[in-house]
Amino acid sequence: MLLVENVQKSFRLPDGEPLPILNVPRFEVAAGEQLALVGGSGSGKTTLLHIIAGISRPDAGRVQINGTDITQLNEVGRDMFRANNIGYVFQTFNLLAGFSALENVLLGMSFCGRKPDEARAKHLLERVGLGKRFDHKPAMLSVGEQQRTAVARALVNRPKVMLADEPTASIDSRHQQQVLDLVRDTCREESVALVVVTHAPEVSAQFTRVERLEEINKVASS
Amino acid sequence: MSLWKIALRSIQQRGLGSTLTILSMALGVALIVAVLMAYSAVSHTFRRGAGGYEMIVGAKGGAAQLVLNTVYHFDRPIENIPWTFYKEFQPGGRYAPYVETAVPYCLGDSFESYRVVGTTPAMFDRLEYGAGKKYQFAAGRNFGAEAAHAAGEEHDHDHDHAHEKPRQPTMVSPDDDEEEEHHHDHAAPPHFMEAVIGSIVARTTGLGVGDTFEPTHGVTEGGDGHKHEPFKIVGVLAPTGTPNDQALFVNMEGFFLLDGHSKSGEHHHGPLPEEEREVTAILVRVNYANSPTAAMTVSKDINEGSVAQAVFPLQIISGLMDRFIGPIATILLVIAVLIVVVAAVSIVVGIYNSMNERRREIAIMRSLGASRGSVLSVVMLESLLLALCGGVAGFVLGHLLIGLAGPYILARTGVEIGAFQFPTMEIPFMEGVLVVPIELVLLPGLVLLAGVVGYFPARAAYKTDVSRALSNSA
Repeated sequence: MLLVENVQKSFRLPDGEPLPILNVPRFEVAAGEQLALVGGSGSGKTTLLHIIAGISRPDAGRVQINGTDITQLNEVGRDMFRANNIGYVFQTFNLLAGFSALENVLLGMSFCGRKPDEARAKHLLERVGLGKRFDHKPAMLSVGEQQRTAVARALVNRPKVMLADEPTASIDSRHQQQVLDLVRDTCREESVALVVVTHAPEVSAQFTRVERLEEINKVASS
Repeated sequence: MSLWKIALRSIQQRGLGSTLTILSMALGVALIVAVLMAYSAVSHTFRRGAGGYEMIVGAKGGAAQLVLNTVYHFDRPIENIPWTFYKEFQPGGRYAPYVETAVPYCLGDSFESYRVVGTTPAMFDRLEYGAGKKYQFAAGRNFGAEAAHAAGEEHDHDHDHAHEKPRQPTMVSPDDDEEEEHHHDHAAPPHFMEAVIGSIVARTTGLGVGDTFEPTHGVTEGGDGHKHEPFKIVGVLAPTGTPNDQALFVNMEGFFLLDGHSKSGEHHHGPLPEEEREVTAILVRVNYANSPTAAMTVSKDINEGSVAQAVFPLQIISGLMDRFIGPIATILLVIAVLIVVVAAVSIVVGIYNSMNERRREIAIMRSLGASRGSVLSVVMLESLLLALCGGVAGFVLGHLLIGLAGPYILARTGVEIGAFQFPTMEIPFMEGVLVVPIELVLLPGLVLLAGVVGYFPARAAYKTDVSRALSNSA
């Protein structure tokens, strides 16, 4: 399903010198598999997620999702591929403040080239327990409800891969488990490959497969 | 969700800023609309003022002065021309073959701030105030024996045979209406002292049919203080939107009998003898049936002579418009356009000021699969929506302002202007001319302006570094 191979990424320092960030020889996630990627601050986990999502381009290597090497796509192709195949949940939810919960979910369907399926968006909001909050703007939702809305938005296009960047880090402990269960259960139901980046041991402890970024990223390990 | 809706939501989210931007755009557009409407109405009124005839013949002097005091009742009359010259336009006269209608026009008196014009009934029977627009009476009838007779009012028939005499062919002669009386110097018949008043005069003075008024000698307000004999109002003209709404028209035969209106200064009680008569101007409708160059032939002949001048009022008016009113309107338009440009810049400033917040939103949309082109389009659409909302609000506001000010402008200036007037412009199209409302041309202009100013923040949105923006928002 997801194959990351020989991916390298450097940033350029102000003096022009390259600063290596990533060097991942290989890692794979199968369809429906759930992986916790554990790493400390600066270990390159967000950069890796951006490369898998096609937001950033690696300097070398390939990222193959469902048979498509997204590093070979141009930017417009990567945008379209991301819209149709990748769900992304952020630590800070990243809902648009001016849009209602339903509109935020529908926004996720606005760039995939298909007609928005409002019934699917409503079904997902009901699935995450927000069936009566369609018209509520983010400011009217609790943080837990906001993250659940973000989960619904990430799943709305039936992605092949779900990327979750510290999805519980901004939520109080009471809601953390609720959100994590929701992400895992819905991904399981829809056979979505899930990659959760976390530094929280209580989160990673729940996954059968846990990878330490320091081990798969040769730059971090050196 | 369409890009339009995303742009609309973004505008709604920044409610106060968006409202202020729309308001400033609306004020600029309203000003443009108001200036265009006012210019169009003034131009239309000026041109329609002399719409019913092609030529004015008057004493030698300034052509503009002749037009201004004959058509618009501004300025002082130049001088008078002899009655014998006017007779040249009558059957048998040298200009008769070239003339369809010639109406004498006598100035020199006033009532309150309005001019009193001595003329013949043909002024309203045969001339029009615009192409195909005949004078109508809101109340009463035209002055003169024929109109009185048609209305069933009995006058002294010893003096009143006009209706019995056939018109030949459509020449206007005192003989038509008041003939024969010239040679009998006894008491004037009642219809000599009849008058018709313009609609604005009727409204502002409260005068109506059956009332009388005493003209004052002189054309300035109050004249020289000398009041003439009273005229009886027999008709009130329906509004024409021309300066004639602000004038009182009296039977020329009665006008001639007023003190100081005879050439010798002698007072007469009956019809004024021809040798004692003078007119200020002659309004001429040219007869092109006999000669397509009739107007040029007549004007050339008159202007080469030493007695009078012939002017084409529309030509003079166009010259005056281009020379005086046009530049003022242009200056106002430039100011209004600058206001719109400033408003457009405020759209850019508004969008730029919210760019930090927008970068996060743009990054979110990009992470959801939006292309750079999509985010560029959203910002451009937002600019376009702001400009269009401001534009539409401005059109409504401009028309509303003019509609509210219309009655005041009409009362003060005689320029008829209403909320539902739409200034037009002529655009050459194929082999003809396309007349389109200017506002329809303004709309694409606004769209273009919104596109130009919206491009700059849209370009910044286009270049947003998604990775960095997402990392900053984490």
